[in-house]
Amino acid sequence: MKFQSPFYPDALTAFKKSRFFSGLNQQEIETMLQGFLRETWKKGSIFPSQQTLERFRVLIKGRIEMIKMHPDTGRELTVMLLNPGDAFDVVTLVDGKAHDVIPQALDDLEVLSVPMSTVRNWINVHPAFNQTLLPYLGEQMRTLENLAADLALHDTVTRLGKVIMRHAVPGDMVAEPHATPVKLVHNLSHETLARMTGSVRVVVSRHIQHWKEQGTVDVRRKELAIRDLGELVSPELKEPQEIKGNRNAIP
Amino acid sequence: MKNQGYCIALYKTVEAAEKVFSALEQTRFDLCTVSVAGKQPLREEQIFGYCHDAGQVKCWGRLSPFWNRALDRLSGFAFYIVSNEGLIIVVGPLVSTMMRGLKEGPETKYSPIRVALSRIGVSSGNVDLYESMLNANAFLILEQGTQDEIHRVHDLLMHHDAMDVTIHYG
Repeated sequence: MKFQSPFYPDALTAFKKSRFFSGLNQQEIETMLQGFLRETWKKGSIFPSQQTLERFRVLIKGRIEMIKMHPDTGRELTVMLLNPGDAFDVVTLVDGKAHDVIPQALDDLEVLSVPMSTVRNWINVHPAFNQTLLPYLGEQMRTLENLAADLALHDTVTRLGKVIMRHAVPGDMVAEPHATPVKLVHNLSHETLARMTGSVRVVVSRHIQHWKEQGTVDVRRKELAIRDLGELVSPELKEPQEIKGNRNAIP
Repeated sequence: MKNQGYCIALYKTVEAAEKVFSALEQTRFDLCTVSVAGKQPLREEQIFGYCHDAGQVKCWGRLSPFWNRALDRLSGFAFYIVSNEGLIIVVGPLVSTMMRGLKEGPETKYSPIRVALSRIGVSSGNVDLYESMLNANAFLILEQGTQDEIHRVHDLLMHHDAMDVTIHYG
């Protein structure tokens, strides 16, 4: 990416904010930016597996869902939600092997890409880059660990509550004086929320409808806001009877 | 899976755009997938015109050498007037995309180049910028192709004084 590019200031700002590049100084970031190629992807696009094997990408705008799919049933689970500043695929970067996930664009995306070999070289050449990589990897491992624990130890309604809570921004009041806007999961379909929860759309829709009727959450124009944080923290207490009665039947 | 996409390069001057055009020709690149868009400023003291003769469009005026060269090698030609700015000229297969878009929504409030870029999958924020750069006398060179092709072209375009080269996957 060239310094004269009209898109350069946005990319530089995104890199400075990125957890992946936060340990680097301005000069190092600017040098690295020269090696990147700018790409845009439309909402719903799926990154071809060959590309994720060959090129390392940093997200500038939009969100990416990393999906695992059952080969026979087609059931899907979102293993990670990437936001601006996140990089992918760090697993391939580390082990050099193809990663069996489907990266799908949740919004129109702007990404910067660079060959994997270049990033591996940076790890050797720039000690500061190496130092930021390890905490970033640790954070991603922690996210996956939490997901595994949630899937094994909690029921669907608790997991859904946790997904919403994990992305809430308390104190950042926007439309409603007593509502907590949800930063990331807003504008996502129930299908996507179901993939993030490890459930199916029907169940997620039913839970959200129930919370809406209870006044726990507010859904307007696909924006989800939490009206009662306390109720969402202990969602089991507010589980709809028809779901509670059929818990074993719910995926 | 062969991902189709567009590589769009921005050039500040006609000289830079001409150089890259020559480079594309020298590499025997298939020019039928290349489009060019730029502005022909209209000033009272200058004359710009075009004619269609013997199956070929010819321009005359300040930037006519560049446009005539593009017209010789690429198929498709269109222009439209932006009031107080000048003519926006488009040469190449992007014209067909533009015309299809305009036919579907002739009442559109958007400019033809915006319609064309949106149709090939460029997001609105990027279209805004490309349009404003065109109005500021920059030139756009677009290449459509598979992932391998556009990556190859990207490297070539990048080495010829491009302000920016972006790959857009639709």
